Amino acid sequence: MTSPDLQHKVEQFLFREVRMLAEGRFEEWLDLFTEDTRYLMPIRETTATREDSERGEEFLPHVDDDKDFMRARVQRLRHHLAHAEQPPSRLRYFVSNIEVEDAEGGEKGDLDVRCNLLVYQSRLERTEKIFVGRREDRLRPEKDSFLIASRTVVLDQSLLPRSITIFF
Amino acid sequence: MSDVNLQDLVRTDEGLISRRIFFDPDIYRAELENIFAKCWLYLAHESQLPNPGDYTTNYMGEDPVLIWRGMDGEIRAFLNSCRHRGMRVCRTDSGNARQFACPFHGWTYGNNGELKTVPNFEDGYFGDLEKENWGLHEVSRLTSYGGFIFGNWDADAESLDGYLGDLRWYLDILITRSLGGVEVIPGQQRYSVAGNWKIAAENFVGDSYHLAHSHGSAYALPIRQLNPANPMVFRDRKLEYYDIAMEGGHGFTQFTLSGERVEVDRMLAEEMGPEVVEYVEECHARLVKLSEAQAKVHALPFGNVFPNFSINDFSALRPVGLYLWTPKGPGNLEVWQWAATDRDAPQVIKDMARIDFTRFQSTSGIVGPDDTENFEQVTQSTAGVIGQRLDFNYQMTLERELVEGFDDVPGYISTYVSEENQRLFYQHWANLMDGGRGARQVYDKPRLAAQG
Repeated sequence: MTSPDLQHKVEQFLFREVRMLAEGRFEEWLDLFTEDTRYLMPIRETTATREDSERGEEFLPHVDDDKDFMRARVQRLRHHLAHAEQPPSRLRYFVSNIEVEDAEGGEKGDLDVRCNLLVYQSRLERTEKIFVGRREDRLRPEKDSFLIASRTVVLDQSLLPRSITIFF
Repeated sequence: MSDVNLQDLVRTDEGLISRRIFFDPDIYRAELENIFAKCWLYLAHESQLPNPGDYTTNYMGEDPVLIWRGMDGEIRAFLNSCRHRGMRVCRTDSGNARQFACPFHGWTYGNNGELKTVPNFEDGYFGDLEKENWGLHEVSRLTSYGGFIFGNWDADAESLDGYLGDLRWYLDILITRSLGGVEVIPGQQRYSVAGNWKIAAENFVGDSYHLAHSHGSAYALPIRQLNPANPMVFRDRKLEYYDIAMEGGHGFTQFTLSGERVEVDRMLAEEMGPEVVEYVEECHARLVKLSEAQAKVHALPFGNVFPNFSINDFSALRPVGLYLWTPKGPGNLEVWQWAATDRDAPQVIKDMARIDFTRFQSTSGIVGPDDTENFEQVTQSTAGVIGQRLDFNYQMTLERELVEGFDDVPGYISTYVSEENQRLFYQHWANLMDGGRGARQVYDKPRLAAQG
């Protein structure tokens, strides 16, 4: 059973993290990830069973990044020709259903944190998109806070509402 | 649309194309009839359906189709709709099934499309329903070219070979170079774009002009460090690129014709180890057997198979990208895309392919989303009455002669960058939309095609 203190600490970490994304503080956000992190977003397909719908390692994902490529994405967004996000979209992140557990395996003190995520993207005049899914993070204690040792973003949509120009 | 002469809207001889063709709902309806119900459309790759009963789904125009391998081993495609009341028969994306029972009243179809059972056949239809006439509505023609499965609703259409024409010479490079054959990585990326399908197709058919500016933010990255096989390494070398347009509206761009791409693959392979060096040599040897000219081309770079199937293939070391721009009304399209590798490529190449694809021309890549923004805002520009009075400009290289001197390479070769390919794409589009009445050629004297 997770203590209320730990639950609170994890929640505050996640809320601060998504605020960095909403506010475009991507460099600060990158610092929340370990150097050997993995950021994975599998594809979803409509399949006969619920289990099969979440496509695994042998399938093409939407994203499978290491820290170097995450850095490259941020660097690109800062370039004056990255016009899919310039002018920037207006973003609102909603994080809920936060579940915290001691990690199985990993380093001492690691936590497995699961949450639901809803991201609203408003762009130019009429472009409005909503991405919905869950995240599974491996959090590693670091000083008074955490680092994200891995993140899996499982969107519920099999057909995404738009190409992805934002982070989850 | 009776008041519209499409040839007036598509004036390729002046390099002018009316914005109306990207927005007008009547023109769009006519496209579904004259393009999507008459052309050969890409459906799937055979490697996605290895076993009897395997199926996958797709769209032809706005019609949903089910591509299904029967117990007899034959691949067929059907309108994914029950013949009784139209309910979607297969509602999953892919899998394996001996039969599908329609969810509505339970009409059940075997994987050869045949109507097998009908509930209340005896006490409702009194045995009078002619089941043999009520199988799934089959796509009239289905042909595979080197594993790439195309379908056509028009029973009288020319053969796929004739339709692909000179393009076969280029597809043969991709198909022959692939060790063990092209294999699609399972899974498809799909996303919506609020744009007209032609804007996406023409972007691939020949628009290398947009690369430097639209994708300037990607080119500025240290890509070479991030991906050992990335083509952006080309930026360090002076290469002669060419665009090639083909009869039938197909076009590819960024070709090298003197062996440069194989040289770059060799150089990159050296850094990736002896297994990869050997692999590149094997690829090359197979192409040499095909022909010297094809071995020199080595890879397709990127282009579009008319009307809406795009391919990128920069190198033997990188994944092949397969892209469908599926129309969803004049102002919307869906992108369905897959990555493929050679079945027998070294594991290091296969492992890299999966990730490589996601990072570039992909849902979330550093290239694809900037294209999305263009497609959407270009389409938006065609909505207003003032905008619709204007033409888009396709005048680049309009007055230039075609490139001569590559007599063993088929198609119309133009200098890089150019808009030859786009003009030929739209002229072919207009000719089909016009039902052949006022069909015009872009070139007065079509070059004789080399043997394809």
